[in-house]
Amino acid sequence: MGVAVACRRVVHIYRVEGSDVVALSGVDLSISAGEMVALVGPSGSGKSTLIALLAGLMRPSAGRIAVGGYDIGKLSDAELNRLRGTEIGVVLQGAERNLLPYATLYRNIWLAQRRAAATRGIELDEPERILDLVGLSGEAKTKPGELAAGQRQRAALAVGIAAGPGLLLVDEPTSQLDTAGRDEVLDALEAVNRERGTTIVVVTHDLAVGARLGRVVTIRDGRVGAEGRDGQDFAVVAGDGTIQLPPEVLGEFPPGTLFIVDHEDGAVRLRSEHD
Amino acid sequence: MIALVLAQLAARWGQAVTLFALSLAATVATVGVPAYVDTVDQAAVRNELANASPAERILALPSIQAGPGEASGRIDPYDAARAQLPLLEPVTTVQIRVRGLRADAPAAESHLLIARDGFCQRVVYRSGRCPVGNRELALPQDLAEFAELAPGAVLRLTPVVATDFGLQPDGPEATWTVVGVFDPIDPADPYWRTGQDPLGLFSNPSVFTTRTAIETTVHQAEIVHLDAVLPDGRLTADQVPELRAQLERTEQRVREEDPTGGPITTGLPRLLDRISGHGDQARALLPIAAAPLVALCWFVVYLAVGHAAAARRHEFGIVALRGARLWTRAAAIATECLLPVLAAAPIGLLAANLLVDLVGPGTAAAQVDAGQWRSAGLAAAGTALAALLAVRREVAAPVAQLLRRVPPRRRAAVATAEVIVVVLAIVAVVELHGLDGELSGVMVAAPAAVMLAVAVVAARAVRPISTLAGRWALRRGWLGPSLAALALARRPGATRLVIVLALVLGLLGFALTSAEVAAAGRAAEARRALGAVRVLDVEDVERGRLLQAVRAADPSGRYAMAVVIASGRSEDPPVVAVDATRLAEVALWPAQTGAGCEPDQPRCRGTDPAAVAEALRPPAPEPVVVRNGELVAELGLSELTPERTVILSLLLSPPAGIPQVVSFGPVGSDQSTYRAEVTGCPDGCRLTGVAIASNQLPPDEGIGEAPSRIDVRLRGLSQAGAPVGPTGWLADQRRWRQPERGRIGEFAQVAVGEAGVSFAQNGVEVGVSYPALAVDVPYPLPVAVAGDLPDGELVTSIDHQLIRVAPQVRLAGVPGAGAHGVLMDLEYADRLATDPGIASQPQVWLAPDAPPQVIDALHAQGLVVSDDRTLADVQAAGEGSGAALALRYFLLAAGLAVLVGLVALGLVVTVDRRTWRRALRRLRAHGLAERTVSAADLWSYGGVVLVGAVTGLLAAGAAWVATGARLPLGVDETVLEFRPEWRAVAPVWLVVVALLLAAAVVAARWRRQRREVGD
Repeated sequence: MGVAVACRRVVHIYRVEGSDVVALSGVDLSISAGEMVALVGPSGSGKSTLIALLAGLMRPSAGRIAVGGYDIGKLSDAELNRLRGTEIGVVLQGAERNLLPYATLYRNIWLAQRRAAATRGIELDEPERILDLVGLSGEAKTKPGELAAGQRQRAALAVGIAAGPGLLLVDEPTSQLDTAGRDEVLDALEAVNRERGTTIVVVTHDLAVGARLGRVVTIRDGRVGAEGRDGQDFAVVAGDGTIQLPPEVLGEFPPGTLFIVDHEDGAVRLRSEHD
Repeated sequence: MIALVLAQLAARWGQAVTLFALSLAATVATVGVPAYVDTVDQAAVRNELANASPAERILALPSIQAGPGEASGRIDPYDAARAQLPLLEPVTTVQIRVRGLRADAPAAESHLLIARDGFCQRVVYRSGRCPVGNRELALPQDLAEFAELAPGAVLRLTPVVATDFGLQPDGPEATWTVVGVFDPIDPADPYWRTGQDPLGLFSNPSVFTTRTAIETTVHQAEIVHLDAVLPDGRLTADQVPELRAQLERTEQRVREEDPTGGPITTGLPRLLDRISGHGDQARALLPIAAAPLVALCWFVVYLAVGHAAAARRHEFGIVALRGARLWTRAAAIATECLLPVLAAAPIGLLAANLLVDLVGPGTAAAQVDAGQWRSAGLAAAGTALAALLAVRREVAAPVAQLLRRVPPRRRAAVATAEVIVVVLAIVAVVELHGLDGELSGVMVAAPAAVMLAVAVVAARAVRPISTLAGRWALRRGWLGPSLAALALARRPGATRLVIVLALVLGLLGFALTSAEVAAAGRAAEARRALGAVRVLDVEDVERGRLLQAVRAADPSGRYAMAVVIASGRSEDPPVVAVDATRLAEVALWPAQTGAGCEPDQPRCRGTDPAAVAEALRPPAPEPVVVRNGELVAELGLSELTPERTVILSLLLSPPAGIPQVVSFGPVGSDQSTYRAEVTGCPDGCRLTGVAIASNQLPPDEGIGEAPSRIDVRLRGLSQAGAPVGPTGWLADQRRWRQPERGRIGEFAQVAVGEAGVSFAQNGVEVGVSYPALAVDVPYPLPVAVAGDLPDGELVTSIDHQLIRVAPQVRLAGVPGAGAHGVLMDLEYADRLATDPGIASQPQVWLAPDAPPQVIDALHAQGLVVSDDRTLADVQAAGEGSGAALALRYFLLAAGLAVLVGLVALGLVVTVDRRTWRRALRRLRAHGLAERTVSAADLWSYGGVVLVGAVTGLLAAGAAWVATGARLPLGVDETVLEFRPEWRAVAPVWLVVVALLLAAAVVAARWRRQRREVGD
């Protein structure tokens, strides 16, 4: 079953050559259990940082991240490690970076299941069953290098879901695939979500992917800038009360423009001081 | 997990093979030490047994003299003691003396009739058979010919005993039959060389019979000899301690059985000491050779695994990303490294033994024992530890760090490790020199530590220097070399390769230097020990006769020199008395022996042998020579106790032959001229002394009682009306001397004056002669000395008497003696001698160009050569020493190191290839000329090799300077020249540098070809 995710005013700062760089500057985001969400945004906006924080690969500088019942920031390294082996599946950008090249798909999946099998004491799906789920039936004995790009990406997905995680974090799963390959991967993701109820968060530049997943969260300048649900775009009120204007609107009102905010009948209206 | 590891191995078999090979090399180097020591021990046993004197292979218990049947009760305890020596073959000999072998033999002729264990198995019969029945005899061929006897001859032999009155019958005559005439199968077999001398090498040969025959022969006295002989092939190296313990137990047992009996006579301990000494030398040297090689292997393993792990960081990240526990991660990372390492341990053990069998000095394969397994385990553990250290960060690193493309740098850790290495090297050198440490225990790693420290420091300096060089080349437009230099500065793999190559070439240089210095030292030691290129040992001869014979055989004085070597007490330095007039022509001297020095320069070289000879032979006083005929002495009696008379005797020494005594007296107060006839001096005899004696008892005193005084004055000697001796010799105090040590009262007191010389003695005992020693040489005797004189300026001379010496030259070594010894003129030393003059260890030294006719002439002069030794023989024996054999292992280790260096070179090229290729490709895309790219490629690893070579040269030099003097090279340090002969070392070293350079260039070209194909 999927798990819910909640980010509250998440800030992440890292140092590069002696300077502090703010990667996330107060992310507020809630994802329901079993939901599929696409994180989009320009390069350097903080998408991959957010997904690394959700995976517990890094700790937030400030704010709180909850995955299921766990507060990621408060867990020890060992607990985070266990969580990644049981509750959180991670698929890194670039399929080959998720797979041991010398091992068969079966052995890759088996290795990813070891911690969950030992910790949870439950019976996990056989590797063949998982491969079926992602559309790679009969490829258990195949090594990653023998697969096509799309297949390899689905194999990476298979490894990510091998331990039956409640949350699957996927970074750019379709970036190097053609349309058919992309669709195969998205089909696989949907199958996983459908059959297992896994919460899936996908980082992508591809708006089509976002469209398939239903909910699209746009990260801009280290914050959640907008959201799109079922074709409708929304601005999002951040924890500190800020709202990011859509880029096309922002073009008309350069930074420093003063607005008068009118709140009438449940609607908020921004009015330029020159109006 | 096993399947996963196998998949890893299958996917990266090249790395696994490399690791296996490196681990194999480390195991071979480590296991090679005990295996090689084993073969050195074997060689030591073989060589030493072959060259052992008979006394060193024989143990003789005190012989038992008894009547027939009496001996057995006394034999049993000794027999039991001897039974504690199972490694030796017991040989019991029962002997009686018989007369009558030849019918017309002189009355004094007798032979030993012996019954000896096992003699029939050691002879081949020329005729007849072995005696088995009663009253049967067998004779050696020589004796049979001499006595004109053959099988079937019937003899009547009488047991006799030797008494002061000659041979006396010891039993009734009995009839014996000769049944065999034989030759010994191997006369050199120590069985024949026991004290009884059964083959008659030094006495009459014995007659052989059976024990029963002797027992049934009526006789009164017999002697039983209980010997034990060490046969060929019986002793092995690991039995040496056991045999030593057995000898001690046997000796103790014999003492317990018969505290008043004689001691055990054996030279076996000397033999065992020498055998052990070879092994000890090897055990001391081999770890010094193995340590750098093993350290090199471990370092390359560390680099190889570290490189590979760095390249596979993301894989480890994948495993960690799936929540793997620490041990799972460790297993996934380390097992792949450990399996080849573990597999290499047993195979390395076998390979080491095979290699040692191939190149070692042993005749049989080394025994795989617990020591070898321990060494293999040590090598495997070290290799595994190096591998684990190399992957430690990958095992423990956080997942995010592993998933990052660029690993964080470890500058602090690397710097700390480098500082530790340098500090360890400094501590080792200080320990060696400041605290007088030895290259043993952990200090065997000192040369390796010094080399590693130099390599690390040089590699640290490579970066800034390469950067400067690269910029400098860039400014001059030399793009290719500039790129190569900058790559060397920036690629960590390149600087590590510099360290590896520096270690390889350092180890090679150190090994070559050690081997060359030791070989030169052994050669010098052999030359000094022998003294000449060829030395003939001659059988007993008088010193004067030896001198005369050699001078007569080689009147030119260019080819042969008479030498007498005398060893006094164990603490005395050996004395080498040479015919100094030929020293410069014949002896191997300073340039070859590293010997000559001035007194205030104890280690100087190059003293002219002619100058040394001149110093040994300053002009001597003219001798007082007396010839056959009437000799007239003018004597005066100054003092004499009443009732006594006195005799004055002149002690005369002919050039060869028996000393003569001419006596005058009784000397009375009423007479001054005395006459005596001299015989035995046809060629003139030197006056060597004067003796006074009292020869009449006072009627009322017993012998030795009532001290009395004699004072006799010798005013002159004349023959045929002419005075004897040079003018004024009687009044010259320097012509007389007292003994240097001993009872002064045994010698006459000498006082010179214008009226002659007086000889006085208080407390004269009747019948005792009181000599005064005449001197006709420079005294104290001029000598050249090496080492210290324990008694100041007193030396035990060739007559085993103390003489006073005057060191004229201080040498680092004396030819024919070694690092300690005294060199003197034989003629002068002989003139000072007080004994009849049989030379101890008489020798003739021959010059390199001595013609064969000289030897014939020596024979013609009556000298009998007993042994003929050449410099080549002695040098060959030195090459079989434990240290010499161990130094071969140095070279073997250096060869293995070169192979490891080639592997490391290939490894770094392989790992760096991708990055370097990418960089060059980008530069080519930016318009860099192909020629420039080629130059950069060529210079890249070629430059690394050249930098490594220079660093290796420095490392070898530093290690040699720091530790070379402490290497147990098995050569006396006074002949060691620690500056190696570069012409012997450099060619091999340069060939290896060229080989590495070629390998680097080939690797570079191969890369380029691959790239071109890839492009």
